[in-house]
Amino acid sequence: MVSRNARRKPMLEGPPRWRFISVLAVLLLAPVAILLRALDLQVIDSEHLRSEAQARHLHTVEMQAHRGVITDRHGEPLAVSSPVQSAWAHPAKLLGDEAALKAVASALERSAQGLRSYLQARRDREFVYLERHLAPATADRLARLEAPGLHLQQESQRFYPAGKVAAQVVGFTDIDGRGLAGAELAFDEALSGRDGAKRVIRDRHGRTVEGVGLLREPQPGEDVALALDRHIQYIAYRELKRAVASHDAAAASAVVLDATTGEVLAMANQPSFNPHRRSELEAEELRNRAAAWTQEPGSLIKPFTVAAALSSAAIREDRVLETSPGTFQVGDHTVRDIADHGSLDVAGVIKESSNVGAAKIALATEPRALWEGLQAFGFGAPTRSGLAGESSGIFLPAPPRGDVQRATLSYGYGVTATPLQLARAYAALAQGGVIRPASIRALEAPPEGRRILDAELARRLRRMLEGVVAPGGTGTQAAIPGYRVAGKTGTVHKSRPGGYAEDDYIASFVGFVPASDPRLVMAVTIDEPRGEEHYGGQVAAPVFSRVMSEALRILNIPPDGLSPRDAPAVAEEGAS
Amino acid sequence: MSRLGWLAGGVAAAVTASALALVAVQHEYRATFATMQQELERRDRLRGEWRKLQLEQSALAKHGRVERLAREELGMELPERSEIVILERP
Repeated sequence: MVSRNARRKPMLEGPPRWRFISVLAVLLLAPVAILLRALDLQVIDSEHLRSEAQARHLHTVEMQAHRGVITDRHGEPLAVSSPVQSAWAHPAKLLGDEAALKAVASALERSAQGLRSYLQARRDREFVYLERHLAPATADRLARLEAPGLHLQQESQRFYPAGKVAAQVVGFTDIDGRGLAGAELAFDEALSGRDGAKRVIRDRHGRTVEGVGLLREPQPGEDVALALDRHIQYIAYRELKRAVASHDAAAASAVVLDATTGEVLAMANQPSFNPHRRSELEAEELRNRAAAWTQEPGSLIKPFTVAAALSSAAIREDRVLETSPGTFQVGDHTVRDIADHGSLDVAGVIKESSNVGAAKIALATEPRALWEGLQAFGFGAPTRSGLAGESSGIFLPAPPRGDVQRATLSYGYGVTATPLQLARAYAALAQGGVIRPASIRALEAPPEGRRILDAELARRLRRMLEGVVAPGGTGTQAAIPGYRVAGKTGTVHKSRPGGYAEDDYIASFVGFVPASDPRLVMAVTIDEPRGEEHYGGQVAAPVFSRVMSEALRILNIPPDGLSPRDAPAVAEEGAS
Repeated sequence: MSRLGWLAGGVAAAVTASALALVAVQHEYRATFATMQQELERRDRLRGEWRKLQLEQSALAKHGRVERLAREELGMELPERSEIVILERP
């Protein structure tokens, strides 16, 4: 029994106990391990894993903010973004399909071989632009191809309806819509807005399946209204172009300011460029000469010399100055007039534009009073117009020391100013002695001005400037029938390294209308006129007259200088 | 069943319901978002069209073009100073 039991016992006990335990342990440990792993994945490492998973299908996509429109003062568009398509490719995928590659190449009007080597060179990338800003027809053709690895992406392109006419003022952007020049650069921040971002799910081909969330709403750029009047701008450009052609000049610029607010109504330059075809752009065309080009003002500065002399009571208005024989020796420098003007009063010095007279007036004025008087009109100071790349010109850092410097300063040599600065200085005279900043943006209210000259004195200077345009003056060609015009001509020898060029001139005219209550100020500068005529009164004054007479008509400004013959007929019919 | 049992059951049901609701809300959010995307795209398309029309309009109304049409096709010209009569409102 015992032995039998002893024999059978192992059979009843089955496998050894250690085996049972180890199997049980393994069976228990496995779920524990799984649990631990699950715990590890779900709790401890979950963040990492979740982000890994999302990185594979969730993408953050930038939402481009729309760039604002640049308009003129009446809301006419000057720069507008319009949607266009750009083509990009996943090189490896497109290379994998020879037929598609050929079709894409022909749609883009490129050789298949060229496209292939272009893609081969960028094989390890996932994103390569094929062509940006496609013509709509090309974009359609590409979309219909459904080539593997080829994608179209919406972008926006900038269009400039005014084209050449306002190219330098409006400026342009790069292909990604960042402002590079002109108003596009100056107001880039306001125009560009803020890009938004959204989260999207993409499939493995990179196509967006669905958007799942908005991270940041795109903030569209603001529209910017410039002070320009597109119509006046066009006329200024047209007349400037005509003057450059007929006088065979190298360059020219014109600025029209609203006399009462300092707003820039027009700013035209020659040569100009087509903002849509910038590959042929030359640096000279790009310059906004009206604001960035400094020239010696020459005779244009004389009214301010006279203003400084009169307001410091250095001379009286009826003082008679002897300008014979047309030359005047100051130290070792000879001041010259074009002709012998004889005896002139102060108004006569302005009217005949006598350098000798101006020098004598300056020498009678205390140097500091002269220097401060000119500086008050904004020479050497920025106009705060808001334009990018504006120049301030050069003005003496301290009152002139020697007589020669004082004399040459009086007729505008040894200082430089931009046409915009000159227009602004004349606007101060037009406004009864109050100077205002120039503004390239349309303003709602005129900016605070600063009084720099007695109003009565400013009025007398305006009368002297009317004399320039009256018969016998240097600027008769600036006259506009029916209106009283005030202004000043200027002709300077162009300064070159090493001295003044004998035959290169800068002809200019600055003036305002109507002289009784000035509304518009215009500065015209023609660089290197090469014809028979080279004086400001012959070359620049006619441009002033033509542009202003149209601008007056456009703005409905009533005539103030009618001769009795065309005095207004009183409307009797329907009068109430 | 014990009170504890009921409580556990209740909580379990609530958790399940909340989980389902979460899924439903998530779905609704995505659907709404998709609609918004479509509307935004529509807005952008319309804006694009508006800008195109603006460009077209300004191309047609270009001063050079209007001037040429007025002078050449319509035979218009600026009146001479002597042809203008100025009236003053009494």
